[in-house]
Amino acid sequence: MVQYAFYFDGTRCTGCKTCELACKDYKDLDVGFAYRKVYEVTYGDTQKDSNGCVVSTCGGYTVSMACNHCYEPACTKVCPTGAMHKDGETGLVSVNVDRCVGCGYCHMACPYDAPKVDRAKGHSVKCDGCVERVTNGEKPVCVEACPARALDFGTVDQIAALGGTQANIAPLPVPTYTDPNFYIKPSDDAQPVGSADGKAVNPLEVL
Amino acid sequence: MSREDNMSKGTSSISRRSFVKAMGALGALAAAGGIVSVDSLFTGGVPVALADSTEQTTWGHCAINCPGRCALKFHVQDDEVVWVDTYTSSDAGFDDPQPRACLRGRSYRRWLNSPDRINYPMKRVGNRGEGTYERISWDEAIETATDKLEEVIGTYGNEAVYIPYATGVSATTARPFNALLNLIGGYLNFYNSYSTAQISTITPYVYGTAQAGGSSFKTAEDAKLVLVFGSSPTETRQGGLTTHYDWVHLRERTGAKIYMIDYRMNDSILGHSAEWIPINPGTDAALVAGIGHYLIEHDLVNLDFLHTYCVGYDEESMPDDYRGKNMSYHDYIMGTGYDMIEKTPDWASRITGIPAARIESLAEEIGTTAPLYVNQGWGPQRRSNGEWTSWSIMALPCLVGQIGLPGTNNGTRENSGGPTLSSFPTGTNPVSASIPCFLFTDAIDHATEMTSKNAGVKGVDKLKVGIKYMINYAGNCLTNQHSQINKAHDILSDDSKCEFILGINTVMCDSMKYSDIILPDLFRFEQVSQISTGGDVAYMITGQPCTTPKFERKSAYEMVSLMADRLGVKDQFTGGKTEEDWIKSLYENSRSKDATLPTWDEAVDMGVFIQQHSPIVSMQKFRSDPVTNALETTSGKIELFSKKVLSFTNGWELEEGDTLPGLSTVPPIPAYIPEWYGIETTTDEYPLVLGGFHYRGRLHSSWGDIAILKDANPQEAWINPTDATSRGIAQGDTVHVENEFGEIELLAKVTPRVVPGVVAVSQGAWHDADMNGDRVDKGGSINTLTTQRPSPLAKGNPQHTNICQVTRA
Amino acid sequence: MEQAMAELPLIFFTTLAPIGSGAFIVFAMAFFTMRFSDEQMKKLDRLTVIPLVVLAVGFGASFLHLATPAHAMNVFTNLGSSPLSNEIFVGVVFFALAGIYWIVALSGKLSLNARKGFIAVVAIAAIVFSCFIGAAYMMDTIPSWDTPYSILEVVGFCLLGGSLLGMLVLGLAGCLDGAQRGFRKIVFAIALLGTLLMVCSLVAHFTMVGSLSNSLVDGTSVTAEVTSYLVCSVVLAIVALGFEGGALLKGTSTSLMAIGLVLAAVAIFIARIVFYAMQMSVGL
Repeated sequence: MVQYAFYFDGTRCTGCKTCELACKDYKDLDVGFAYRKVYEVTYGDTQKDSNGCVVSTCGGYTVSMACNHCYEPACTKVCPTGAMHKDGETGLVSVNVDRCVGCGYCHMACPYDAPKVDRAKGHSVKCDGCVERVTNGEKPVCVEACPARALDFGTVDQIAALGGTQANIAPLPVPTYTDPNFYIKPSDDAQPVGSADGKAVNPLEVL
Repeated sequence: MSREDNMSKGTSSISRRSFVKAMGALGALAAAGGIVSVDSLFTGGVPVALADSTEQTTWGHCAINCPGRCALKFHVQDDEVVWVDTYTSSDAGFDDPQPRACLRGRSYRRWLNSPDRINYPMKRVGNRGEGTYERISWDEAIETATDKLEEVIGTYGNEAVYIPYATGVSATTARPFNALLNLIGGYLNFYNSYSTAQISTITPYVYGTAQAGGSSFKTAEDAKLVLVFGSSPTETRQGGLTTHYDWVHLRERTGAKIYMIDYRMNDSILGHSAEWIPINPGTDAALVAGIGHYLIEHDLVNLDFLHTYCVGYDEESMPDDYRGKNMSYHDYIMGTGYDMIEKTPDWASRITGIPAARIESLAEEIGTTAPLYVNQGWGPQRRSNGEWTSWSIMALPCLVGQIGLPGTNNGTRENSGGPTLSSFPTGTNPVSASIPCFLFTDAIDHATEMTSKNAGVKGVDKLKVGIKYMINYAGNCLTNQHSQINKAHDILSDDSKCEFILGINTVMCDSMKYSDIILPDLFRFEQVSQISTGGDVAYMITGQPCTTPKFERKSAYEMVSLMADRLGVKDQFTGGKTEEDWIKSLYENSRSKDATLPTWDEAVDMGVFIQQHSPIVSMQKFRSDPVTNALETTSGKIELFSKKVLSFTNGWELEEGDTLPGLSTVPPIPAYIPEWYGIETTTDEYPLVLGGFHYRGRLHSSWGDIAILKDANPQEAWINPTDATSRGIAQGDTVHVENEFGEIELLAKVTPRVVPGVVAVSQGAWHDADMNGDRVDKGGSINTLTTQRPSPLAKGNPQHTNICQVTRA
Repeated sequence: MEQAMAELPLIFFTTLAPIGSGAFIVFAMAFFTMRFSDEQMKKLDRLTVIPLVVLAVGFGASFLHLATPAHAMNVFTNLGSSPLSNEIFVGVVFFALAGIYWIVALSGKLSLNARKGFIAVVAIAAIVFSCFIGAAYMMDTIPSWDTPYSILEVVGFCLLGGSLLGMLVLGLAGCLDGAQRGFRKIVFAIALLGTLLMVCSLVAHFTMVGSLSNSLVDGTSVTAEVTSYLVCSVVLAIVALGFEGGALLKGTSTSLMAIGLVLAAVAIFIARIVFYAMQMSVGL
């Protein structure tokens, strides 16, 4: 068995959301659903000093993230039906729509907010790593879409070798919960997990 | 060659993916001629019968006003687009050039099938601006449009016909309406653009034309210091092989220190906030003057360069007839001329909001670091003082002689451009009168008052007649992308002024609601089309129709052919050729000049042709030999003082605030002039400055109606926490932004990424107001709040020069 | 709050299931402490359908929560590992036990001793069911729920709401005429314990959530949103207990018990709104 992983280069990402919208087109997702989302973290102040001059400690960065196809997925653990499952061959986590009851526990449990119940479709939906593309030798649509070349995908060994570290910047939780297959090269502005400066400031765009 | 033959060329069958797109159902219904609700189909089930059919792919290009012109790879099944891919591959390395489409390009399927898409010719049945239309036949539409055209020309002459500025279609055959009008006596010309009026006007005075272009971004890989004024390369040109990719690539490859001077910590800075130098908007000229003062005081100016290559820096380099008048740039900076104020870093600090010590340290770095690459976007120039702001930024590398050398730039925007392709000949316009494009509503409202001295009228001293007939092809500049929408509405909705407006578009955007007749357009990727563009790398895209034309939509070329036929000039217009014939013959012409271009058939097969070239160093020839390679300026040199500006604006009717105190012309040097509605001219009523910016979710107003893009990219007013807190505004609150010109409603983005005292609203949101009611624009279009007063020299749109108040809704 | 309202079917389920199941605890106490005539017993057995209906409505509501109820039979697949599978399994077992008890009792073939044994099992199962309802929300990635309070609250609902529903049914069946002081004391103790569990757990839970924070939200802003709901719930629960106490003093007032039950149900319903609104992921 192989285990696939995503890579995110925070020094290159500009927050353009091409990954998110390319995925939405390919997967035919409507308003309210996104398998890949782009979080903005902004911190610090930009204020005027006593001379009326602008002084800024402001920093900010974006994180593009889909399902991390974790080694210990929170979603599969709570799934009552076994519909949410981790594929034995690829390690990709996906939904068996013929089994899914649409209870939403996977959505609640996932600390990366990857799965969501689409009531119109009657089941949970999420990034499946574009498994049909991957088995065809391609990379997921989001990865090949990135104009800034900030995303990559491959076996976890290949991805870990790119020099990033495992999912350890804000606004992500510590990786110990689910052992995510997501490696990140942080930008200069990136804040550590749990930092008070690591808040995602664009909730409207990601919920 | 028939369309079917072409459909089979340049396309390939691929095996069907394991799951099928719901859009197949739309195809089935659309083909049956029914009008269907797109929304219901996006969420609908998948017809099992379609699961086995094969998918084909076609190449096409984006045609909107972004140099990206991205490669679009349409996956088509049963004559319906099922998804939109781009030029990409799984094995592409960071250095491999691929014109990948941006988020908007990847959302084209939603626009193709948008509920706002125009399907049939229509005629207006309500008042102008109301947007009520009735379907008519093509015959009736063409007859009405051409009869009225002949009537207007007969009554008022050709100067009463106008094609307003528009940015919806770019391709080698995108200007057929101009060609038609030139065959029947011409039309009122325009000059300038809404993108670059001020910088395009001033640059020829400073650098001439032929050699004025900027360096490639790639050139900055050799720089040690990169200064970017008012630009967000990744937001403004998101897709393709243009500045988004080039900027990201440059930042990783260059060893240079980078500073980005902007009133917003824009998206291009994200992740690298140490690069951000926050500045009060509209004050870049003051910053440059303050830096100049430090450079002069510390002997860091390059006098050899200034005396050899420039005119007007100091007394020694002034034109003979202007010596002894204290009119040099040096006099301006050192307080020995003009306003007699010394432009010390302290002085600059009070205006720019940049601490004096920071200005000094920046000046020290500029004076001691080479190569220096100075770059500016087009934001700083789209202001009431934009001509002089952009000129100042060009003056900065001149002061230290960092022009024409490896790793440098001349302070203009980075180079862009693709393989040179010939365009459809539009003929010669027999009408010589020309107006600044920004003043078209004036030319509808009070044309006969407009002269060369008060409104930048060119070709004639004054206009004879107002605009009575407009062809608005692929444009949203009548209202939405023009300024002061409420005033524009009042002028346009009065059909006794402009008597007829022919609108051609793919969607019912705000400007289309003023059309008397509407014709349904095809996208360029629904027809054969070709385009070239590029940034560090040049490329060309040759596209085939992704599907057959749906409903009664036609290409612009077909529409014009029908009009030309009725006007008796069809043969002259077509030259006996179809549009595809034209594209091919134009391409053969291009190939005859550039042997590296592939054959037509090869171009069709490959879809995307990439042409690598060496990085361009701006003004290298001039630097190496300024006599042989003299510039087209009055002096042949770089002009930091322009006699021509003085003579050209002599006798002009200027308004308060258009120039420096004591001058009767506009300033002949790159001086700082406070904006009319700017950081120094806020009022108690409107205490905040308001600027616009390009937003990832739209390109101008294009895609402004696409729900999934709006969902991911909400329309927001950026406001600093200091200004928000004092107004009781929290993140995500609905707020009203208003000034004397109108009121908009949108969400608050409370963020330290914008300097205090400044509000930033992305331009291009679709105007959405009850124009017979309160006129509050719930779409949040910034142009509800922008002024129609033109900038002093260019007579261009100062759309970032605004003041406002913000309140919680 | 939006997030809580999206869970409306679950709010109904987690309100009704503990109340319905809790009634059987009171029945058990009644059988262990009092003797009823055949007439009374028959009436009570007939009216035992009421808590079963409450339960059934709760289960019905939980079905509405599912996007594809048709796949509901799959929910036992991960029995043992998925807290939701466990909850539903225990719920179904409880419902089956209570249902069988009811049918057998109705048939009149239940001896008193057998009845006592059976009802004791059902009563214990009711507590177990409530524990599993609460435990279903305990996931390590949702620290705001991953606390014993999640369980204790539901047990509290079961005891308070169940005691009121049970007493109301007993009253309607005429089983409370001349009820012993001992029984009344026990029932009040159950209700008091339930109220204490519910109120103390809610307040402690609320305080705990206020100290949390994740990348999207601070616990204080979450708790600020639900403070007024929490106060309502606590006050209503205490008032409901008061009504129950009043009813128990008089011994036979079904109207006071009915009012108390409605108040308790509303208090529990609001407590569930608070609970769902306090969902905070460890991450996003």
